[in-house]
Amino acid sequence: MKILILQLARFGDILQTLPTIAGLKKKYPDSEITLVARETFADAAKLSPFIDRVVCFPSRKILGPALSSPAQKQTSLLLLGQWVKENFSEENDLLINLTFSSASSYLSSLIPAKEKRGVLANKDQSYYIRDLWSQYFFSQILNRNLNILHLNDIFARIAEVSLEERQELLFDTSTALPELAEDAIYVGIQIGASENHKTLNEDVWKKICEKILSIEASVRIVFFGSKEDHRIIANIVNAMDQSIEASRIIDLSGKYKFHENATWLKACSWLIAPDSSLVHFASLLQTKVIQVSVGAVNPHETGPYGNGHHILQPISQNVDHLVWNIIQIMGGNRVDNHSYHSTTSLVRCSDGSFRNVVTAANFDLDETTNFFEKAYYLLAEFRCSGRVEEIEVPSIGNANQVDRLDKLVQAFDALCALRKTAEFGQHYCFEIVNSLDNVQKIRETYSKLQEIEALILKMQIDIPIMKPLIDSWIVTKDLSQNPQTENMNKTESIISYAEGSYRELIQNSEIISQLLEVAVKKAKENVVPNLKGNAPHENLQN
Amino acid sequence: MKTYKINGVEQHLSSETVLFESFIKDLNNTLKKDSLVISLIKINGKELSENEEESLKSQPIETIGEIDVFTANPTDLAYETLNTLDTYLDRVLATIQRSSQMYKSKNYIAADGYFVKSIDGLDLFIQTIGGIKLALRVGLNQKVALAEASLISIMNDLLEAKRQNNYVFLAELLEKDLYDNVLEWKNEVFPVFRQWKTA
Repeated sequence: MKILILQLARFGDILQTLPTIAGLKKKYPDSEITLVARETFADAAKLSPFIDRVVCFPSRKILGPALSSPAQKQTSLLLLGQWVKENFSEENDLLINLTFSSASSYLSSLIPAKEKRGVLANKDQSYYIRDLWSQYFFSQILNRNLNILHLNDIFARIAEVSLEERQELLFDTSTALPELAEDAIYVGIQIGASENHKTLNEDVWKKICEKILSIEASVRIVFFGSKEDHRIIANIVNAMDQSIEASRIIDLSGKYKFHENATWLKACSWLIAPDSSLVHFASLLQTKVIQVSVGAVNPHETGPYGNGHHILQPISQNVDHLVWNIIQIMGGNRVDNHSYHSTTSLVRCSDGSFRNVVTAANFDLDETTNFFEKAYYLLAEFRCSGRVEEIEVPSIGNANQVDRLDKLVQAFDALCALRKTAEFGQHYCFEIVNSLDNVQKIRETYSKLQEIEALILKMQIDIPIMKPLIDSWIVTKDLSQNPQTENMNKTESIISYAEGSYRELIQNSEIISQLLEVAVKKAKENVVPNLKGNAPHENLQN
Repeated sequence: MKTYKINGVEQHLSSETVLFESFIKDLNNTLKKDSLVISLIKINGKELSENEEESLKSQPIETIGEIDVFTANPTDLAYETLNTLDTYLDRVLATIQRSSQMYKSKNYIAADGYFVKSIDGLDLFIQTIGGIKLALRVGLNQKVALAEASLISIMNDLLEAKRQNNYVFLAELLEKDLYDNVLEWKNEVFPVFRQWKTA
């Protein structure tokens, strides 16, 4: 069996693809797995013993002309076609595009394969996505909706494999590792991130490093990073307390290729880093991570993966608090309330596979967000895997969050309105299907259908908590299929798929409403009546 | 005196005033004693359809032309039915596959249509299998019993998944479990039936 994985994103995404590749090899032991990755980041693939062939995609050479000028797009397409011809003469059995970019969708449409998953492109360059988990990725992850599934787990679901608790990696243990000092504790620091807003400033990093080194004399700091990070690291080191021995600071930035950091990273007891590729690297190596989560990141999706990692989200302006919180975690102490502290663990799903879970350690979750995150997760498992996942329906009813319960009641009303609107949509679809020979009637009904669509799109903007359902509806309606099927005319085909999308939206709203009702019922004893008189859950149950 | 033929052998009617309906009834009773059933009736060389048989019921037999009756042993009929079922199951398999594909591609209108066809088809299949088992006197055969139990269990799962609108599970059940079970009937259980006579 020939399997081709398309991962044209950066180091972090490639690392998050490796467990899925291991899962594929376990599921199909005789398979030949090829990974297509961008030249700059392909080194990360060298860590996997399960990849039989790595094909480097020369993105600059091929996409460069199109990126420099839209007029050069044709040149890029020709180069792309030529490159595909040279590298993929044989048909693959399975192609999985895990990149979700326009370039990758076009590429995956050109590479011959019996079965394809992920985003694909039509000849007119419109997209379509057949498999359900890729539809989930496209509608939820790209739209930054509520999601508690880690990317590792989503990739595994797209590939239909289970992940192992520990990953087997391939790396040269002799890579540039000098003799480690006995009894020394190595703490890795990664300061860089893909975007500046996702990391801390130099001064904060300096304070973190100084504090860590002050714990005890045996502690050593190991700086990881690219050539670009080297200058900033030099600034940090120069600004640090000059009494610190130089031998206690090891700067590896720009010294090694990405994958060659494995030995050093494994030697570290901790890695402290923002949301970055090294977090995924450390997770694969079982090195404990403290991810300092700042900026527009979702630790559920791209945080550390595995048991016993930590995520810190600073809420205090005072840097010393964050520094102290890191030290508290390293010392195994409870973190005070100056940062949100969460831990990660792997839990088993009902099918026996693992799923990464982020658990709040020192704070109460916002009840509205928590409820919808979990409810949407359950919905995704039901819709995309057909599985009724066995997790507890999120509990609500915290006496300190009565306003949140009111929000949930409002959400319930919105769900009812959304369901009702979708029912009208479905009704008009049926009307069109039943009057295909009456052009006038089709026109009239179609204009009503457009009104319904506009109404739903308005809800998507006005009611943020409904956005995941509506984004999913859009993908089902517009991208789930090429609307050309046998024995059907074009109108019938388009309307059939539209009916499918409305039907799903009705059912999805219904499922979330039911979960909400169950949660409210469970919370009944805890609910404090609001100021207006009735307890909010009574409104809901009516 | 009116005559008719059974399997090409000429027979005489005891009374010429009898109606076609009572003629068939008497004949069935007579054949039953020899464990035979009517498999085909021809009037003036033309095969009689069920509708035509219905319209002839109240006519006196003397007004009807040349009657040829063909008989069969229920066992032989069962084997003939098995051959027909073979082709029938191919069509059911195609319907199951289409239903699954349509559910996967979210064209639920078409999917529901094929789903109903699949379930109706299997319903008829189960009834026919019951008849075949009776005709062949198949008692407790492990292979047959397991295939039957599995089919009933899949049908229950299918209906439950449909009730829940769990289209992913529904498509999986149709594509994998049900498809495999129907293939099992064709490839493994039917040979058991066919060997029943010689066993």
